[in-house]
Amino acid sequence: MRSNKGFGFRTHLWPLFALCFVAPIFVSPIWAQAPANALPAGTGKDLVAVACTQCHGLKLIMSLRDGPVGWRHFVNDMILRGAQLNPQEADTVAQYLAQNFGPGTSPMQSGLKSEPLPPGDGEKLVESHCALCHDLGRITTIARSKEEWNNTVGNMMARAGTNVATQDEILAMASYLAAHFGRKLS
Amino acid sequence: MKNLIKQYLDSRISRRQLLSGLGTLGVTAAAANSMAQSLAPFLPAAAADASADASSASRSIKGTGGALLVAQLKASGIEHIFFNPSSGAAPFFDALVDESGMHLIKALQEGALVAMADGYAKASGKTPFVICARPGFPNSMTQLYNVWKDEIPMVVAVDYVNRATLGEDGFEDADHLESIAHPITKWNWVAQSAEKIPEVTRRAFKFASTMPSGPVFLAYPEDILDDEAQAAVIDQAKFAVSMKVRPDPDLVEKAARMLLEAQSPLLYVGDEVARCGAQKDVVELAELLGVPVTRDGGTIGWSKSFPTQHPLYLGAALREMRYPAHVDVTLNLGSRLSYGERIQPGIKLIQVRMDPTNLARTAPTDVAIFGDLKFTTADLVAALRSMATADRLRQISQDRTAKTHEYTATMRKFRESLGRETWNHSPVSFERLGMELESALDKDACVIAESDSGRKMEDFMSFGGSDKQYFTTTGAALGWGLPAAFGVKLAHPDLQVVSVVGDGAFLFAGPQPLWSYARYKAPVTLIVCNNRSYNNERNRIWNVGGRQFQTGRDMTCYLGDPDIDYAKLASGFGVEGEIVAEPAQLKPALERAKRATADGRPYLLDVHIERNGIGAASTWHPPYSVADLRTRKV
Repeated sequence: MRSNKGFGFRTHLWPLFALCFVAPIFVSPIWAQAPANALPAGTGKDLVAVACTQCHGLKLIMSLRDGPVGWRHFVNDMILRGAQLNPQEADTVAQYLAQNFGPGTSPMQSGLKSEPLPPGDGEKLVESHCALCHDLGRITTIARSKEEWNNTVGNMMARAGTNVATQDEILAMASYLAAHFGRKLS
Repeated sequence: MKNLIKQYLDSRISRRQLLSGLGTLGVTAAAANSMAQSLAPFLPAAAADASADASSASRSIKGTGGALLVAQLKASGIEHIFFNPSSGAAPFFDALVDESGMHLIKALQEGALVAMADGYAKASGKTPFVICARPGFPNSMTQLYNVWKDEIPMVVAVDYVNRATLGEDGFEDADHLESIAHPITKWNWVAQSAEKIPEVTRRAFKFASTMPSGPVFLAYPEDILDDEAQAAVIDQAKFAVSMKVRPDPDLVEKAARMLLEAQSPLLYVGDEVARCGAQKDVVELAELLGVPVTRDGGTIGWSKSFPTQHPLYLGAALREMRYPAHVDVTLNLGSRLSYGERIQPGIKLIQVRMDPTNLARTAPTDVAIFGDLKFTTADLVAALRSMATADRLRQISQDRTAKTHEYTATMRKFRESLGRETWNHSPVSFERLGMELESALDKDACVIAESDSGRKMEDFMSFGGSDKQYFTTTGAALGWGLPAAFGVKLAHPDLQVVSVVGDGAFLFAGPQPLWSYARYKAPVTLIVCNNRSYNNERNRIWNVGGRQFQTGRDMTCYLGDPDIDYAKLASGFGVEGEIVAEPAQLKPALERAKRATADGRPYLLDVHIERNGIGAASTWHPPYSVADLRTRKV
């Protein structure tokens, strides 16, 4: 037996599906992959277009869905890796990203074919919460242990911000997913 | 035959001549070889010609090729031989039995061997000598590539196939083994005779150490290491070429004028500043004009050539800096400038390099100056002072300096507050690790870093100037940091040395360097940043938005399952260590490490570090079991 308990990430950390725009200076130059004018209008658009494209493109920013806490983590991480944003600008960018690429805005499509969710406690919660950011193919085509589902759901809900799901709801979703899409740890 | 043997024992004929003579007398090659081997213990060790003046830079030495090599290495100033043994080099190691002036440093894998020597070279400024077995040489290539990228002087040698059987595809023979080193060495050569060994060795050291420096590969055929010969051994100083070249004064004047007239200049610094000892001069230049300072990003550059806490220091360069805005002149002092495309059109570029090959290599350059960085920077300062009055220089500097100070102070405070937000993260955040190290380490400690994700912690630490020394590698071939820290400690035994490597990097080095730490009692704190992942590799892969990103499946980078216990691993190699699983455990663990190293022992900390970035939460990996492939339980 082995355990991943308390290791690797916790609920306040990074999401399973979140965009990495870390490794700012060191990735292959893909600046041109999405034009800055493709960004939705709004306060912060110009900052994102300039500050975030020093090291990476906009395509993934626009593909990702994350909650306000998650986006804030990304922005903070980028500043620690060299992004030139002052505190006020960092707030503006994080708010812009959360407003325009947050839960409920055209969920990410995995291209994985999903069967309808099997009935069970937690089914509706999964449908109503998880599908805000991504299609259900990401869930139904992969097996994770109960511990992994706990971590994954807890992390996503934490990134979505407070009051999105109660602790009981998080546990219900994780239990449902482990029961229907689970695997045993070796 | 008796006469032949007597001549051989009197060193009047070489081993080859003995074998040839025995062959003429009808002795088979195998029997002749066996006979020569049995006579070896009765041969005199290398001896200086009695007629030679011991104080002379040149001495005539008689002995085996191996003994001549030892004598020349001594004359080349070598104190440490980084090695892994080979039977073909036996005459070389035999000659070391009676040589007390040089110390053998053994590594158990050739890549680690070269990385150890690289750390030693970077910290000492000397040119190390490495010798290993020819079939093991390919193991060294990853780290030799790092040495090449960083332009570090080093001589790497192997024992080579006996000339009599060369090209037969025989034992440990590959045609033109030396050519595999060709793209990543300044020079490669196969010694042709015992008499030539001192000469080619001197040449190798000359090529390796002359700026722009780099690694050189030498091959010594087994038979010539064994042959007897008389040859001149000459002090390396007689072949030293000073590259402390003053720059063209016309170009200096042109550059100074451009800097003086610039509205928003930017100073870009690189490793040649450190290599030339020009750090103070560069600070003086930056302060004279109030120029903000940046450097290449990522692992580009192995040093911190400008004090990272200086108010003019911005951190790593970006493609289009938001601060300072509208850069009109960039001065590159000693950087590879490998992101040449980041020099935007319209920006005038002045470059100063010791490496003419890479000077004006990619980015269009307005003034390309070849010269020693210390001399050139000093000349630029002098030219500026001669072109403008002290009042004008003060006027130019004041406003820019104030603006940059305000910007860097704001950002420093902001980053500090962001780092504090992660203080209680569990597993430990890189931010906390950086802050704890900054607090625990001596001001003049040496930090050897090899952690892609971990560069974030450097925001919270002080490097350069009178602060800590920083070493990394540009090549990004992993497996460097753990052994390199050994070499740094060897060069600076009186400084605190800490290696901070990612678990991925640690595993590329393999655990073998731990053996060298234990064997040679190298008191270094070894920190493994264990996040069970190639964290930034996954980030980069997912960053292209492919199927792994779309489906949330990390196909390649998760390193858990099984989870490695690095403290236990260290214990197996005779190195004490412990796991740091929670942030509160970090400070006391660093204190224990400090006590252990003060007592002369290495100490390893397996620090459980958080993953971050895209896909960080996932511990899923493609399931596959070889055991399940079986149709019977064998």
